[in-house]
Amino acid sequence: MTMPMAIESRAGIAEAARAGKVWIRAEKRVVSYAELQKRIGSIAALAASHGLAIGDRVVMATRDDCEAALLFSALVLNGLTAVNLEPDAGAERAGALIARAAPALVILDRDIAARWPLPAGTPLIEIVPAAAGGGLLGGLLKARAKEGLAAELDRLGEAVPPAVIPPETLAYILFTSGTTQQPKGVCISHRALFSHLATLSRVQGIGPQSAILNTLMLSHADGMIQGPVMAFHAQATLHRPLAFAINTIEQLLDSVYQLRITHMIAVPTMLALIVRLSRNQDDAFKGGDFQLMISCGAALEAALWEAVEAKFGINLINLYGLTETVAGGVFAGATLGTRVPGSIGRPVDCELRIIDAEGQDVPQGGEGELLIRGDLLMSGYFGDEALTREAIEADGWFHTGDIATLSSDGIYAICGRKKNIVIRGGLNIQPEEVAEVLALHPAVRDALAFGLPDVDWGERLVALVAADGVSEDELLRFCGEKIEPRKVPSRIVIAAELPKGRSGKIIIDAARALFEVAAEAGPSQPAVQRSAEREQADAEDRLLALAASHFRTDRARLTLASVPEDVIGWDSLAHMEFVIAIEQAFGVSLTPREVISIDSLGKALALVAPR
Amino acid sequence: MIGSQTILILSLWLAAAAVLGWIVPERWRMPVMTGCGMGLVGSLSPLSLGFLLLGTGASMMLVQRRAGPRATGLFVAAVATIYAVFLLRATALDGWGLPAAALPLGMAYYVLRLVHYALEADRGRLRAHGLQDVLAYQFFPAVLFVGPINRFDDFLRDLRRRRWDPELVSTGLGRVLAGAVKIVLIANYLLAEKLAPLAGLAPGTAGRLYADSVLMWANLYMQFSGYSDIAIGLGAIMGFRLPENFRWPFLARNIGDFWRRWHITLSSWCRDYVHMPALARWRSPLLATTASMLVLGLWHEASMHYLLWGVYHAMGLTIWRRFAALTAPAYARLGPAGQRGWNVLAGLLTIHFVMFSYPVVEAIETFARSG
Repeated sequence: MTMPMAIESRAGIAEAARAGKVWIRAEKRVVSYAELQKRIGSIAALAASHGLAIGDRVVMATRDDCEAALLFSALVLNGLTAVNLEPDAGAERAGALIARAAPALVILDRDIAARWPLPAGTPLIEIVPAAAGGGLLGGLLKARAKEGLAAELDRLGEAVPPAVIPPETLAYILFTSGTTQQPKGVCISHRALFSHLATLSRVQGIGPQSAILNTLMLSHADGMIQGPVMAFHAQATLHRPLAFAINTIEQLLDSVYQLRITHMIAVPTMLALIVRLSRNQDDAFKGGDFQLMISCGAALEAALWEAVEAKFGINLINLYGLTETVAGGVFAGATLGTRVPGSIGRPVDCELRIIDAEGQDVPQGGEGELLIRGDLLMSGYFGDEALTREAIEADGWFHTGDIATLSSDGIYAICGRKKNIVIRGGLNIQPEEVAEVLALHPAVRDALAFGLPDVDWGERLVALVAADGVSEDELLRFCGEKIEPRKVPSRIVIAAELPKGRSGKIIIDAARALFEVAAEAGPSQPAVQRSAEREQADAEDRLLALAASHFRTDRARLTLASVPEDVIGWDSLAHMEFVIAIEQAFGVSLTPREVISIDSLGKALALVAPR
Repeated sequence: MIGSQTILILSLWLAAAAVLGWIVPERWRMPVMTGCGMGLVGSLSPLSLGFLLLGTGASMMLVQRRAGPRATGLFVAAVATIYAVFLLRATALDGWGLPAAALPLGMAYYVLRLVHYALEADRGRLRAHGLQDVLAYQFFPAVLFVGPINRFDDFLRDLRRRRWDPELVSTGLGRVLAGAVKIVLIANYLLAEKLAPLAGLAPGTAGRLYADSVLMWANLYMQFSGYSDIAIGLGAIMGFRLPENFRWPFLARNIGDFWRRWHITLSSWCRDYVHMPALARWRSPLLATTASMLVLGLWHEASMHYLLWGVYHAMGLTIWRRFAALTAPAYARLGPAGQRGWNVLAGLLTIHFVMFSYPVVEAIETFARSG
């Protein structure tokens, strides 16, 4: 089978460069295909000057997104193996990963280089942010003040990248969650990467006319591969207009319209926030260009799937995959004829199997571990034969660690997880890694971290530790210094001892129960919480009934999200009648300011029955 | 009537905003359009430029310092007072002893936008924004002089969505043309020149009065909706979707419906910033309706005439509401054919209620003076 690989991608980039196309449009910088092409040449020159050969590893970490995209892409397209580390990684973890990767060259932001321990003798090039300064003068000064990588690349000029890159050459190594003693470096070959890019662009309909919106972190596969890499593969344009945050959601949605976005890549947490926090923007995707929303990174619940499609009138694809399968492999969505909310659909260009504990195929309808096989699969875990053999069978089947079922019409659905991993907002956290860090604290005797369900994040990470003479705050601070912020537990409960079985192993269920009892006094104690929830549901019911009678509409058509624009009978007089009615029903008195502030039924409920 | 020199200046600035707003580098587009808006206001009324800059700055300061409802109330009161003074001067009520002077150009509209912005910001309902956004809104050239009274949050959404869109631009050009036809051809030529003599009935007769009223309202509608069309069209050419100001007002089935179809952005402003607060405070629909129709009337002109006109409409609205509540069961029993007939009748009654507002108010004034 022949497929477009790095060489063809380089030709495509050259073509797009000649056409003057934009590769990445970020908040403060626009990167053209010409710039990418130039960077491929200068990295070739850099490789020559450092004596790097195809397959040599280069560790990189930078907070500058455009720089990260340029560097990663140019390394891959030169046949060098990019080891892209998360800039937020703590010094210990980063040091362990770099030592493990044994790179031929390290390229880091200057401040990151100062923080991370580097193996002696490994050449380091620093990325130095261009001197600040605006206008013509600033530009001139900047040009003169180039330092570090930029200066070196300028000095070296450009060279010709290798004419042949063998398909089994590693394109990149991505360290996923794993403990410090056993980091899991997922090795993705050119074969896996480019065959999967072909699948992704075909299934998702991404081509030279596409405008992709992907604001996910570039140190993860969903951000980098479905972002800059997918863009250059398809000669499309990637947009990263702003960092995703609660207070930028409105702006992000407006930019979908403004930038004529055709494809948006998001994790379910983002989708949930967009559905909840967009305002007056249901037409955000109706600018005439939008084609597809791609949900990835974590399980997409059926209700959220339905809500996204209904609210914005768009099609959605739910992508299932792992870092080990580049990005995806299994797709579900209306455009593919597999729109089954809550499912992961059908595999494309790969095969699936469901097996039981004995390794036998489970009959259709039964539950078992999901196995995947195909060109998209990783080559193995870097430098860890045992771990690789454990994960990939001799005949090429990879154990995903997810529990799945297959329906009679060939649709797969995930129903559980075999491996111990917490997926918070689409990003994986290995609880053992966090527990390991907690155990490093001198006051901690024993630590256990695990996930709990969370409305906003899908899951959140919490920890139970056995310790004396230390506060939760102190432990949180300690974690913050050692690991990436997103991995710091949202709660740490301190107990005298962790519940252990006879063998000395921690009994997980008992630990969870202990955590819940100790976690919070007052309102979130389970029993109290349940009754408070019931009360809230009851209040909501009464309020909706009152609204229905005063706005002369059907109770079933109202929700807490209903706003005056959506309810025909909700004019200013009906508004006042409704206010008076809820004041009487709930025994409260609202100030004029509060009366005016009611712009949704949810707001009304918050005023009359605060949580 | 606006003089031809004014029209020339206006056209030049608007054309500059529309063209430069697309051809300069992207990050300069909004500042350049805002600059054109400032140039436009400044070259026609330096007083308005100063006042609007001051008002924008002050409202922005309130927001940045989170000044709270009291300071916001003071700001609104100050803006209203200044507007009242200018309005009194412009329409020189007898006996106030103020020297007459025209209302600074655009003031009637931008005071409403200043108040809208301050109140919405105070209620915490606006998406995050900066000074540049507020200036762009307050000095948006298309709506400076005849409305529509657009809302800040909608403007900001469109600002962030702004992109070159040939379809929108061509729709805009069509709207401008339609507006010009309404004003020049229908109102100024057909209604004023060709049809006016047809009402050649003897002055003072009921027939003449009726014909005059019909012509006047037709003219008013064509003129005003024509100017709104031009403004909305210009907005579209500049990449913004502005709110509609008229929605077939003469098809209204009742007086409440009429006010949701006539000068929509003004009546919805009054609904949100007079009617709702008054209703929330006093909890009396009668008082709230009267307050909002008085403000709506007096906004046009500080005169006894518009005061009475406001009361007239407030009465109409209140009586209609009572009537509708009382007759709702009877209406429901009418059946489809009966309801259709009823609606036609109600529509005719509504048009005439609106048309007679001026003659009735004039009659009352005449009566009051003679008595």
